[in-house]
Amino acid sequence: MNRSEITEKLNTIFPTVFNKPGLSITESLTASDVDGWDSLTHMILISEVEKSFGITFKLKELNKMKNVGDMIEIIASKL
Amino acid sequence: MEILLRKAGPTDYPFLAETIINAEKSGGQTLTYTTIFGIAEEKAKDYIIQMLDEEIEHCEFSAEAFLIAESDGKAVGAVCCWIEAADGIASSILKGNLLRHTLPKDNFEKAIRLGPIISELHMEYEAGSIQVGLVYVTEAARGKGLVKRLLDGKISELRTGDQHVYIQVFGNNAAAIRAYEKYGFATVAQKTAIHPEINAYMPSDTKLLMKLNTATGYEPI
Repeated sequence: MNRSEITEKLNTIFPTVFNKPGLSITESLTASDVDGWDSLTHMILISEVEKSFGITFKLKELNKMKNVGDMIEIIASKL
Repeated sequence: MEILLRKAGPTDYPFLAETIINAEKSGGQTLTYTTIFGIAEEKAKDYIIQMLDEEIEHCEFSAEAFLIAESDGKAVGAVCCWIEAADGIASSILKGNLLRHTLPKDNFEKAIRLGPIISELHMEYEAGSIQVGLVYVTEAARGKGLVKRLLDGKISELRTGDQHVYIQVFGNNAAAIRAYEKYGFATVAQKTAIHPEINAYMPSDTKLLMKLNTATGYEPI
């Protein structure tokens, strides 16, 4: 799965988790860009991403994700 | 009462967990670990100790963010402050990562439907600012100016320029709000959740953002 396929899949997860149907992600998107991206929603987001891609993140990996681009990078490394 | 201010170490973790639980309760009885995740208070303490032990910096579960007030070899107070997003990641995200890593899966799966209710009260933290996570003084050590000593000490350690200093506090916690106002904080924003279930899960339906007047509020040491 390449980066654009990963992005496409994430684009189905993000709008659902944040309950924002029009939300479209970019690699530079961070938590502060999305209203309601707090600790609990973040926990839900990470769980949905893991479930959807069939992967598991390590705490260290999660704490390196500064934006969606970093997330895509780490997902790609696990597929 | 001779007071020594010092950094926190692993033997302080049970005390730090107590201060975190106390701050979470916000002067009332509602503990979000129980209402949101279904975890009893004693068990929540164990999980908090595990999170402190991960040594993740720049969030409310960071042992390095704490300064301890000690009297006769016993911890009698603590303050927790960090530089927001010092490594480019918001403290709320670090907190979410730690909770998810530590709490049993069943517990946070239960919390998923609460996301939209809880996030109504989320207030953005200003990157680069100094965030006060909590200030706690044991009952026996109150009335001796420890809140001021702890805040002066920790803010001095972190403040290298003219960073803003903020604290977020629930609207129900009148005693804490008074103490922060006395120190020099003033309310600059507030958020009230409208979801009817909010009071079942959070200590209050209102959260205040207080900002420190650094010209008059704190004395660098």
